[in-house]
Amino acid sequence: MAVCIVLIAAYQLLIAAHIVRPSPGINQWQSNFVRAQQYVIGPKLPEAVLVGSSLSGRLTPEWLGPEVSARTLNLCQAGGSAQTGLEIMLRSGRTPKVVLAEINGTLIRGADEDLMSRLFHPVTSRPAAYVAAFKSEYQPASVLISSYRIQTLLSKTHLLDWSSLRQFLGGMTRKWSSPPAGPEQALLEVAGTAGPPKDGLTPEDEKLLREQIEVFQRHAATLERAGARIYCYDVPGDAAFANTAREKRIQAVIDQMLPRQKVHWLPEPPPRDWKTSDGVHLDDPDAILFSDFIRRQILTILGDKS
Amino acid sequence: MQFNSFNFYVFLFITFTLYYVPALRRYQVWILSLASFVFYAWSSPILLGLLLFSIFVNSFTSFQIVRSEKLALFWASLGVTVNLLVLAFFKYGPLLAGVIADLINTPPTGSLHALLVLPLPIGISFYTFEGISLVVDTLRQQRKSPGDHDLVSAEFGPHLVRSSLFVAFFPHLAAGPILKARDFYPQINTKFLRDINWDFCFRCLTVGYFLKTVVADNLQDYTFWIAYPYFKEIESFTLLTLLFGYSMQIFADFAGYSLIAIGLAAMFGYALPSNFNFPYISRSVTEFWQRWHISLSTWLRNYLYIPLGGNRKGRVRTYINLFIVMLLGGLWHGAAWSFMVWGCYHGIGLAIERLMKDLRGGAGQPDPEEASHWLWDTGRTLWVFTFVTFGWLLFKLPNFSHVIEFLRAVALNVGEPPDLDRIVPVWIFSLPVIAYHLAHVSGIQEMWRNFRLRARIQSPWPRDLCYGVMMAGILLNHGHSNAFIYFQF
Repeated sequence: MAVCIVLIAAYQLLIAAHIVRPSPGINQWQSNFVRAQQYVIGPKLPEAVLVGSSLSGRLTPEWLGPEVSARTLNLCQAGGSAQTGLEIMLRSGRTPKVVLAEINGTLIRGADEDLMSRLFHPVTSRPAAYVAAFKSEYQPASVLISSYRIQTLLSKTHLLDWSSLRQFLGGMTRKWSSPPAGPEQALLEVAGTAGPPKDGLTPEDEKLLREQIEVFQRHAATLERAGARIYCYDVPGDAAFANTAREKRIQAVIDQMLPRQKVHWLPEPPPRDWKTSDGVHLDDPDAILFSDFIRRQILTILGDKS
Repeated sequence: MQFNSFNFYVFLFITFTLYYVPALRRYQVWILSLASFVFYAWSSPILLGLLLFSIFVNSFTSFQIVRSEKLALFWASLGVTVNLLVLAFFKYGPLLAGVIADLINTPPTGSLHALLVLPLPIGISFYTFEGISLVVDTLRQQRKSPGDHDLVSAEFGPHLVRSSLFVAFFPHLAAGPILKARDFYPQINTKFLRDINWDFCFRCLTVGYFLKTVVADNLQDYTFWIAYPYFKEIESFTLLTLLFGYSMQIFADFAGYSLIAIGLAAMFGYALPSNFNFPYISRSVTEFWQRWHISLSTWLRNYLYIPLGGNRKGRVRTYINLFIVMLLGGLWHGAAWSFMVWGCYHGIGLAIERLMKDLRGGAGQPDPEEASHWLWDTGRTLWVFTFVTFGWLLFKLPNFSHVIEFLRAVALNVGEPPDLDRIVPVWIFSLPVIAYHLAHVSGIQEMWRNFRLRARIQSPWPRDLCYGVMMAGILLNHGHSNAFIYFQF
């Protein structure tokens, strides 16, 4: 026990002396939790927060630029949705000035209750609020993997584990014994659903989507009463993917329940033939372009000229 | 309720306190049994009824075996049959319902649908086997020495209470070790706080929680990608590394659980059998099954292999018996083709080893005390590890077609650079398991002993440092709180 206490104390000293650098997370689950913890117990409340899925999680601080990154936190959750980010804000009691919420089919996933229970546990989450060594970003193995020379060998993408998924659907030139997946099958495999819906969105999924949009509306209203301004947006993707029956139906439901006349939406990004690596995630050059668009929107909203 | 949850720590504190209060000492068995029911009912209260039913059936039939010598075999058969029927219903009912639904080609409704969505009660595979152990051990004892009833009390009430503790004792309820009645019942008596071996408890719990929360729960974030369809695009060497990581994970998860169970039981004065003996240093498949899930393999040996004839009915029958035992052992894990294939896979491995031993005139088995060349031993160990690791694929991918797809991906996805995002963390989190095993290789142990003698290291500081690092790791580097893999069985 004494050895354990000494080791933890020594590690805390290294953190306090800035010898140990925090890790952004070495896999998507840890990255999600690190970001969530940064929001809940970070010293400084960001002025603007992005909430959404891995689609917006691609927007790295480097691409958003130093001016915006210093005032913005990307709270997007790989494998999650905007619901998780909103839930985190509500439960933490910390309300930023501006919330940019990614609105698309990922809303079906709802909030990540497992992450919530770990993040807000009345007992086990408390040590991290007072002792940095207990924070997820300082987990020794993560710090080791992130910091040394190994980092130069690792992918520089913000969400390390989605590189495999991009390769999976981007590998259209790879030789397979079976034909490459089309965009609709790709989405379903990404979403983990069983098989292609015959007529676009299944009735069960549409019901789920509508319920989740209602939840989103309630959360957004609560945050607006607390002083936040909520702006909706979506990440552009592959045109062929957007034209699938499922995506069209999702868009129709969103347009019906969150019409532009009643809800703040960001303007559409400049029209172009957006390139993705898997039908949904923007490839690097286009992610940089979209990041620049979001950067200018955030600066406009916060009252600065771009 | 998971061992690594806050709710469990509160539960443990309350139970431990009540258990050792002097005024409540005479009710210790009651306290532990009731606490175990609370533990089981926490996540699924409705399934507590099944556990109570199992306890009642096994208590009643074992009691009747002793009361009625002429009908002893009848009561034993009834007890075993009911246990197997319950296990078959819950484990294989959904599979059967699925087959029927496919055959009649209509969406399942009513009872068929209810069967399809039937939840698998946690621990059912373990406590039904223990119930069978109680019934069979009682029958054997009755036949061997009638009147000698150390398993069954003279009255049904006390026997029911003791049997409740035997079956439901919470440290081992969800995932073993599988207890044998004749080993546990003699331990049921009054326990005192002063008799707890705290050093033993501390060591078991520390190593157990470290293996589970630091190794297994962190590796889970990488072996996740072995799932279909994610593995289809992953490069070959990375896939093999992930499979290696899964091998480490399943050991750390299960052995960690078993050590926690043993440590917890020791806190209440009960000795549970060891369940793992560093299985990945095995030099043969036979040796592997003497080191892995020891309580299951000894159960299968005592209650299945030996009654089938064991190795007493000639060579061919021995191979068949080995195959049958492993096949049923595989099916015990779950109602999926993969588990049956896994059982066959190990059964064939065991049978072939036995055949080779017989062909060599019995000299084929590795004798742990035999001085064999370290290169040969290392080669055999690596071979057995590879054999076992590929077998774990059948656990990870219960859909057999996905197993084939995975192997195809390993064969075809060559030429791309390995994914260091995954490979490096898998190796880092696997190192403790590797070190844990290497520390128990006899050659390395001898080297360490000689080093300590030469360096005159007499104090236990190396051991204390190891445990201190493990405790710090548990507090600082735990993964998500995932359920134990063997809870699904």
